[in-house]
Amino acid sequence: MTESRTTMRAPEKWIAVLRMVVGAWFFKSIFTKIGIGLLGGFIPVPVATARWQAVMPKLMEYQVPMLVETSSSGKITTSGNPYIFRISPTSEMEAKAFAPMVKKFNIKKADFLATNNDFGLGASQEFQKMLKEQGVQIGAAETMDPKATDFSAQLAKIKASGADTLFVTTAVEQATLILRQAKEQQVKARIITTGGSVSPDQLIAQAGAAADGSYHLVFFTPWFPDAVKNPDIAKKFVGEWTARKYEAGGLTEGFRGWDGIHTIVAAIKAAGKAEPAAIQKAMWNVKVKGINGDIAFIKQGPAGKESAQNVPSVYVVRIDNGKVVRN
Amino acid sequence: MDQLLQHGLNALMLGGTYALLGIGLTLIFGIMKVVNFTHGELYAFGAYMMYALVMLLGVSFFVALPLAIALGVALGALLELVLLRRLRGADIDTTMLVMIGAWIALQNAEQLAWSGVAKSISTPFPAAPLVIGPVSVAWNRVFVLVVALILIGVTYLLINKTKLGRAMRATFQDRDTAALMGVRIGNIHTATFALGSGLAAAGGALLGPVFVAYPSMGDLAAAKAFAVVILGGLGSIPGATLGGFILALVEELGAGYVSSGYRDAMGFLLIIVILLFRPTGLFARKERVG
Repeated sequence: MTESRTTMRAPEKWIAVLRMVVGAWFFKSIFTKIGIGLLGGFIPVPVATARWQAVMPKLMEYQVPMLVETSSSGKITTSGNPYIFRISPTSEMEAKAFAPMVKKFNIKKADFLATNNDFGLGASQEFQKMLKEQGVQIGAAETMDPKATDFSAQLAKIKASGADTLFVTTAVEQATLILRQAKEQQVKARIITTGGSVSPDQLIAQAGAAADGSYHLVFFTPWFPDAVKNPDIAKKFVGEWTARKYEAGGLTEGFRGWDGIHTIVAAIKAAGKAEPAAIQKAMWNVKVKGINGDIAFIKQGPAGKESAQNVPSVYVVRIDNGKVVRN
Repeated sequence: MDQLLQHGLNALMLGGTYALLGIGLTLIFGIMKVVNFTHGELYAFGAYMMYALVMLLGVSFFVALPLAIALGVALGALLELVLLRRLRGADIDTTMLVMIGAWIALQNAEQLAWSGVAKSISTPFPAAPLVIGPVSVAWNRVFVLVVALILIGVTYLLINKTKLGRAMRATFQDRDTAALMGVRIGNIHTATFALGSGLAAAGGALLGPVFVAYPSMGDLAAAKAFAVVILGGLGSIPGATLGGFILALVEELGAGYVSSGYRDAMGFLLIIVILLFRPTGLFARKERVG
């Protein structure tokens, strides 16, 4: 005789495992929202800022200077770590560099779509602050998971906001999808990407016609090397990059490495020895002609334990008919 | 109102893809009791096969789609024969660890083969969206929804109306009795894993052109698939289908009217709430045990 029993179809053990997976994802979403960086295990830390922040206590412990070439969060240079030397601009610097262009763009109302981390949220806050000071109305301020691929919900809200400009802060892969999906949803706002990490060449290749009409804040303009402060160095870098047959889309990121390494080399030469304390001291006095511009450091953060911050150049370019043009 | 309609349309499109991702996973779990951690990588594999066929070999988009799915089926069968068949009878933890290892190996192999740069896949659909009154949707998304619904329907019919499906269900209900009745359990396992893998690859082949193909694209897809399966009930195809649409609707409305920052969290919060009241998910049935 068969007996009916109300056991679950799947073993409870399996369900517990799956719950754990869902729970981990859920809490990761929550933690990312409130700005807590989670490291290790399954949980990815998708952008540079969180990685730099994780390394910072170790710099203090081992007393080793670190050159930062990709991070934008103000926290990196304002938390009182004298071993940080940053050559990339902060979001605040980027927003200030864009400020004179607000009138030219005739921005009346702006929306924001940014990754849900220090990189995206920091840029969104700084640009909102700058725009408000200029009397621009802020519409929707949306966020997204750094790994998300579907932005339909955010874009539907942005479309309904009726703003004339949408500021996007994320990496190039998500920016590609945002441009495509904005076109699909007939979002009329002008799209401007910030953060310097959205390679226009990659956008043209990946987003095609959807990239036309978009604007991008970049820290190097390899399409017009004459436009930068040190054109000879820029031309040399682009020539070397091309000769080695690297993808052109990598130029707007690759220059950071060039500038960073040349800064370190200059500091080591000035120190006369490859010792951390001597290099740290020498770093404060370096004057390097970089691809982005002239590299030198100013003090930021609490007195007595200031971090070093370079004041880099910021450029705006536009994609027009599949080509990058000067704005 | 226009915004609500757009969210509804977006949820419909997204729900179809979530459902497609979920049914392959639920099938494998339901029959084989294997948590397929490679599901996301099979999804990425489908996308990369579309890229290789369409962009590198110049194969027609509509020919490449079934080919990519067939390659996904073949990879799934290979994984079952090489890895899972040897683990039959092994404890649950061992199987899970091996599948996690396979997931990492496959993802790194994708990065090695295709580099970390995202790949775009062109489609034959018009760039201009389909505009219906105040709302709009891309033609390729409409195509994805239609094909996803067809694949879900075909899978349902295969499981419920064919001899193979009957053997699968018999294995699902009671493996030992099914074996005594002449069902070749080994073949059923291979067929099930291959079918589930093919569905994952189909998801990637359909969505790769909508989004872009990149090595870690399977991570989020797998997380969504797990969510859909848990929501719908482990082993239930109708549950996974409906779960996909429910998850998409919750995410869309949550992001649109509450906070986009909590878009993913809302879906998973719903699942946690449902699991508190229905630990087997919305649609899993009670098992009959002899």
